[in-house]
Amino acid sequence: MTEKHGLGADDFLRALEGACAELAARQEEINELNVFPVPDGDTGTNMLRTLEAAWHEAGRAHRPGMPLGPLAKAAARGSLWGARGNSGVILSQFLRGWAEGLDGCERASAARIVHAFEQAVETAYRAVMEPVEGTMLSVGRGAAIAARQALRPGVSVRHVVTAAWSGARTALEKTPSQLAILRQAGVVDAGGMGLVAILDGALKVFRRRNGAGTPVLQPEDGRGERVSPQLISAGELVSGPAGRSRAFIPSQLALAPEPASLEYTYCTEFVLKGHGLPQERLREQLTVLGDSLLVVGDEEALKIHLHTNHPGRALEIALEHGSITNVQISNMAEQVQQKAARHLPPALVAVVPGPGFADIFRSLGVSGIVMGGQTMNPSTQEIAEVIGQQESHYVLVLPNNKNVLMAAQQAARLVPDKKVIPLPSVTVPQGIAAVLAYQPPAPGEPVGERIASITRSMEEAMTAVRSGEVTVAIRDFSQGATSVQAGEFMGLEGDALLAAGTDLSDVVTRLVTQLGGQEAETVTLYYGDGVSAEEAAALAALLQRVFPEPEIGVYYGGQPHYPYVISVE
Amino acid sequence: MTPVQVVTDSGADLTPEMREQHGIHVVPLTIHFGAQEFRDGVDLSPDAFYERLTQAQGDLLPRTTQPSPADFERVYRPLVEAGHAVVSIHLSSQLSGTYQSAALAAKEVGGQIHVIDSRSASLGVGLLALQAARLASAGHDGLVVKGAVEALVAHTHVFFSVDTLEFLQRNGRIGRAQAFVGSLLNVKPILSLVEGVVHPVERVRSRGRAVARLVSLAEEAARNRAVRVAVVHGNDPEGAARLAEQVRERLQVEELLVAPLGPTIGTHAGPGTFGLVCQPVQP
Repeated sequence: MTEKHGLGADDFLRALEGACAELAARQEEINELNVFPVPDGDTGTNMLRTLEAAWHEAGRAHRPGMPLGPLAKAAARGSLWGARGNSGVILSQFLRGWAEGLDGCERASAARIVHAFEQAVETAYRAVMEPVEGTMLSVGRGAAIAARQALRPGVSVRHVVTAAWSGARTALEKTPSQLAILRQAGVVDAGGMGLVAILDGALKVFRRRNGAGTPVLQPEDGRGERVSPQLISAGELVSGPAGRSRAFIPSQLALAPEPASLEYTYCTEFVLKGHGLPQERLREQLTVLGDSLLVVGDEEALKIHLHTNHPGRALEIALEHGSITNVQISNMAEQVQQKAARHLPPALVAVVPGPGFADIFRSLGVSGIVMGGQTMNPSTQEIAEVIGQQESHYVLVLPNNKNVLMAAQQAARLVPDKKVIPLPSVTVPQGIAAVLAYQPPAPGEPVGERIASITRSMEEAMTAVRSGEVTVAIRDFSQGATSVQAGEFMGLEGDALLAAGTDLSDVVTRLVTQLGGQEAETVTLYYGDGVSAEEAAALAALLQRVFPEPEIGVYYGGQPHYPYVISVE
Repeated sequence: MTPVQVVTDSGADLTPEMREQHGIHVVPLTIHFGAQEFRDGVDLSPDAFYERLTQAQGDLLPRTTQPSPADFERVYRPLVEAGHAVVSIHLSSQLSGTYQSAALAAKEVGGQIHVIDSRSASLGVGLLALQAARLASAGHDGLVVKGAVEALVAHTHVFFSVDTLEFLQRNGRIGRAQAFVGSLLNVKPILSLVEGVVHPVERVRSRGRAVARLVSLAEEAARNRAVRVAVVHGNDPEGAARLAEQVRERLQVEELLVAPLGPTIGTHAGPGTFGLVCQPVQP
């Protein structure tokens, strides 16, 4: 890196590469910092995947000699779509702010870098509904503050970034003192450590004098060849007017009904400027191209409006007479589709951790399923794609996992032309209760007016169900009076450890008791991919003996890591 | 002036007491169990119906047929000849051909016969007939009674829950509730009648929850106004009593009726069905 000119695009790309390598090396270490010793919701993996998406997109956008600003934007864009898990989403917001801070920048000076750090922190804080100190956010803030403090005339970019890294480490060490759950678990914040690793990895690249050393991962070829299987990009990001807006076009366009036959598809409007413009001649020439022709104005400027299937030809004809400006071409068939879509009842999209759950949700009328995968955390892009596939203008999204909530909210913001409402379901049983409570509007009823009451009923139903889950502790853990050893079963309700032990049936029984099984009307067991149907049925029979009142149901969920997901109503 | 006469059909689920007390004429639909035929409410009571139902299977599951225009003529003609005006209120035309038979008969007989499509079922029709009878005995003429009943149609809400959607589906009356068919989970569907057709409302996991939700739905429909409520149940008088209790607690009830689901409706909805009808006193 040539210091006297500041940080350039090439430097930034290599920094991203180094950061990814560092995160990859420390992935497991960071995963193990999860406060809850549960085998999913892995911060290390989620942040790595998110940053890889940023790096790949930056690699695709990179051209020799390009300015820093657009490359940073590309990285931000990649991370936005690839964001997985809450930590991934927050990281993508950091990158977004970072890119905003570098807007229009050719090469960034130390001062500019400090500004970018501050912008990153501000954007990330804004994205989180209830920012909490002792998390990734405070580590980011520590980094930005330290960078600002280190800024003095003449210092290098490396100097302020090193200060940022140091500030991040100090803030990271403070996190247990800020958050009780970290203290109790004896760990620092996982997301915060991820940030430290990122800065560390970025700096390492420049500590090597010549930038020697092979990166752990191969970047994308600049000409857009896909290498990473992780990035399933089934869509394209398209520039809108003035290169600002980005439209996501899902590759599988929903099959929409044929619009009532439109003879001419494109509503074409433009202004033709010139001298001695021949109105009559233009009318003759344009009228054969379509209908609804209007030519108004005078010899110097004419406003022309036309419905045609060949907007290009209309423009070419105009160009024979002068120059064109204020061109607007809209696809009326799409507009009809969009209008029709507004009358369709809302579509439901659910994120599910297993194939059994996919079947259950589909049988209940959910039209869009996002598979959570082994990590149980799908990316923002995966969620957005399924949303984009829905015909309806209104889409309700059920994340069904607290670590998917933010990615779902991010995806909701990224799908254009649709009103997407993420619902706050943080467990699968909540998602199921919400779907059952979904009240389809009557045909002809204006959907927009009904949406608020529909979502309200769904949210109310979520509060009426208690959700539990059973998994295996990946390390020793204790919470209050309950403790569990690595390898033992844990019965959890959200973040609360309600039962622990070596015998699965026993843990399930105690968990159901804690969830109010005795007085419940319904207890449902959803068994995961490691459990056989016979085992599950036997457990249900046992539970029915212990809890004679409720109706006990058993269904195949197919989820990884959690032998049982349990709902008590 | 001779009082207006009120006619309805057996799908209105009026009990014998309600019919007699208000002098309402009820034209029966016919229930078929295999080759055997019964006139609903004449040859077959709700209790007898449910007993047969528990034994019936396959082709012996019951079906209904609407009254013929002649059945209506036999009722209308003597009334019209005696100088009465008639207000005749019937099952939703989307659910049964009864309304059509009545309309044809009215045309044939002539005179002042107002046939009204209730766009409802069970005591959704019954409450309208009872209100018509009250207005008639208060001395109002045919047109006034007709107008009052028609005004109440849009405000008469029916919410009900079935044990299984099979009966509705088998008999082709499932309407938009088709959307609820196919659930892998054991759930109780909650349905309503909208524009005379069965409409899906939501699903719940247990009967207890279904009862609570029916009351909430009635509460929302009532919007703090005084209401007449009917609780209808399929062979579960205790369940009906519990439902009635909750209704009295949460709504401003001016009148509450409890009645068993008759054979006509029971055939289409199945045993284990229970529901609420809610109608504001002032629409």
